[in-house]
Amino acid sequence: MSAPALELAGVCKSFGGLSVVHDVSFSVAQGERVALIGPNGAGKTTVFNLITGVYPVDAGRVTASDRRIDELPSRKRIEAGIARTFQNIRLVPELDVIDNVILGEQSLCKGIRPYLAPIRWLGDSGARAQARSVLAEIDLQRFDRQKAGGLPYGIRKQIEIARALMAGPSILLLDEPAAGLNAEEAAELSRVLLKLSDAGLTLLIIEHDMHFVDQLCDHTIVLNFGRKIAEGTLAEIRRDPLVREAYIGRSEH
Amino acid sequence: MHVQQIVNGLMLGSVYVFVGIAFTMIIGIINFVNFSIPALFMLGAMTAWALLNVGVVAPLALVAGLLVGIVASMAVEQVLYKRLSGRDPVISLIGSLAFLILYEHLVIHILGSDQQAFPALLPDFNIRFGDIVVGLGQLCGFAISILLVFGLSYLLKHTPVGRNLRAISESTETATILGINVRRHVQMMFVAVGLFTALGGLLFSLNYLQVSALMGQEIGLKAIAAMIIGGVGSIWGAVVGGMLIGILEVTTIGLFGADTVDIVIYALLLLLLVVRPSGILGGALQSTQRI
Amino acid sequence: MTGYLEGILVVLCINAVLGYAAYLPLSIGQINLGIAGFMAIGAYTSAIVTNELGFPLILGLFSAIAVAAVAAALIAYPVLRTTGIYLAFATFALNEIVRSLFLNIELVGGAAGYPVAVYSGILFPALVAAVVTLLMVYSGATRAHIVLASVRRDEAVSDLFGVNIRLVQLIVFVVSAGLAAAGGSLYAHYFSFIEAQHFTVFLSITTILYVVVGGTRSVWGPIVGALIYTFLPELLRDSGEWRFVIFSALIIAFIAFRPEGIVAPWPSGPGSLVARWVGRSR
Repeated sequence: MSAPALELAGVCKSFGGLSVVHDVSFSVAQGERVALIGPNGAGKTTVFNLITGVYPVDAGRVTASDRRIDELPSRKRIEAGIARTFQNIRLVPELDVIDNVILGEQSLCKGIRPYLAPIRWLGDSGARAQARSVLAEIDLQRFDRQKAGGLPYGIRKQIEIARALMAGPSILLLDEPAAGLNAEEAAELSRVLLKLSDAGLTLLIIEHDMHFVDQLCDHTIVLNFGRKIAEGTLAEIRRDPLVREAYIGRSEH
Repeated sequence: MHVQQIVNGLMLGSVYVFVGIAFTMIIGIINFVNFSIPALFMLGAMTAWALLNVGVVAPLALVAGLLVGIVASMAVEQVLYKRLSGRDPVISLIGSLAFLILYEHLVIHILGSDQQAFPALLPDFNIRFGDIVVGLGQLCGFAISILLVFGLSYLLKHTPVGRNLRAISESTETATILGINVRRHVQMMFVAVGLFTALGGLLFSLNYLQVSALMGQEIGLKAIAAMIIGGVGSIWGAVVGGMLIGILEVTTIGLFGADTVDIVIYALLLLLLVVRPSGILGGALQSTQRI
Repeated sequence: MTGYLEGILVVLCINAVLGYAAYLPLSIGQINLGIAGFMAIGAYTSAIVTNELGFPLILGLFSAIAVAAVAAALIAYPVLRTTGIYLAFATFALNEIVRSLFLNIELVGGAAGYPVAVYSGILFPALVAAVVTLLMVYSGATRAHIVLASVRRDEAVSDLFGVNIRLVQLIVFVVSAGLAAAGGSLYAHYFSFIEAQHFTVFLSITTILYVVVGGTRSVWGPIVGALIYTFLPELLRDSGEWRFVIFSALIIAFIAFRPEGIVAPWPSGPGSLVARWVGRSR
């Protein structure tokens, strides 16, 4: 069996004495689609930030495909195959969509040669060709020359995914990808993610939309107050008493 | 080190306090680096000088100086208020720089750039404390600056206005939700800034008897240095910083001559910025983190 | 061409080069108030190399750039530990230190100034300005443009995609210093006299201001800004103080109504583009 795409072992993080993530361990197999759920403040985004290196872990290990990454600086983690999207969309609004996507492969640009080519004047060759083909994979190539700032919310979310795909990641972390999308857009997104997953991409998704999770993910991990309280299929999760307790008072989708 | 020099330094430093407080207050509360403040210092002094020059009676000339400072400060607020929400500090900083240049060059154009003698309005009265001599005017300026700081400190801690200002410094959104009229308070602050700074300019002219269209520049940069050294966002920091700069300036001139003053002060500033940007009194780190 | 017109065109060339020096830090959201200081380093270095060592003009230019770049690289480590407004303060302190140092060095005339023997005429500044402009416009078409815009907008995200933020800041700082020094060299050899008092923080500020007017998001911004700044007094038939008054009033008007500057696409989407400051304190 091949190494898990991502594995957390005993990961802990505190901010000024307040424990935000405590002894979280889980593993995501290659090609799996896993959801990370939990009430607000459970520490889900912090877990993402620990995986991508925004914060260093206080204790524990993070490995990607058997390679230990928790000691790598954040800008090296994309080279380890980890890419992510963000809860509040973080594109560069004044740049064209295609330039935003090209940023995604920045980690592959070593040395000075990649900076010598005047990509804006070379039409659709080189970096632009690559970006266009990634956009085409999710059917967005018609937006390539438009400014990222003026596009609809749902489209921008997908552009973030295109950007994240540029460096050929082995695992994609998605932070609330369905938030703010209507049913049609969510279905479209689900279709796109399924297609990527079938091509071999591993997905780890933070979500509140249970319907979306149900459609897309085979496995679910539940966090509450920084600890993992349950893990399993969505059906199993729903029956778990600890999970029900965590969600008391919250209406499910 | 001569005690007299220290005292002289403190007197000089109290001028920097006026300007430093203005800077630090605005940064602390609305996160706005207001580079137009040195110009307000100059406007107060130059307006008074110009009026005195054409025969206006002293009290009127001085009050006019204060008023011009306040109006000039309000103009900055009016134009930049949309940008002052802290979301684009680059633009507001640049805007304040533009105002600095505008005010400075307006005065240069109207009154020339030469250094002028300010009439000696204060009686030339010296007070002796043992071996130490202090001018009455300087002592008054010093006293006013200390009173100002106490007053401001009290205002911020114990009055509703002060409470509102502190709320605004935490978060303008929250303050608005709490029902505070943010714009009104910001405007009050700008009036205060214009008043303090122009007052500092007037006190400087009354004591040191020299004014020029460029005086804001020289004093202003040192006051900024004082603010940073003392701690950005901290009122008492502005006092500590101002006094330190004043003492440093006087002793450097005494030891090495006037040429090296700038190098010493700015080298200290640079060192501090690199090593401990929060300054001596720690500064309001929370608000600086938003910068 | 009359001497008068020639003088204006040279000033335009110098302003364009200085404009690019100010533009680079602005393009990653930094305010570098030390531009004038590096200009001074360039001017004095170039003058010394041609005056004392008898080397040709082009070598004066290259040594100016080299010395300034090295100085910038050396000072970059401490200075770039500051960010945002602290960087602005640190660079202004730096500027004043450099200026005061030159003021006190008797070897190059101190406060009395330093005469420059070699005269450049108009051709040299024009060529240098043209080369600089070409290089900058070309770089705007490369990936560098994307990296700079991304760093300016969102350092954290740029970092997560592999951008080495510190390295980008260092390169920008050093190149900016080199360009400022080039401007200084052109200045020294056309005006044949340099005095430390010229290179104040306010020179840095006015340069930044006209680049802002031209627009900090486009590589043509500094050119537009330099054009306006250079020709405004001519249009007003006034070489006195009105230029600055009008100019700063223009900036204020721009900020009130169009902060993106002149050279930027007119906002078509909802709201206007907001320049976001990416500094963080440590």
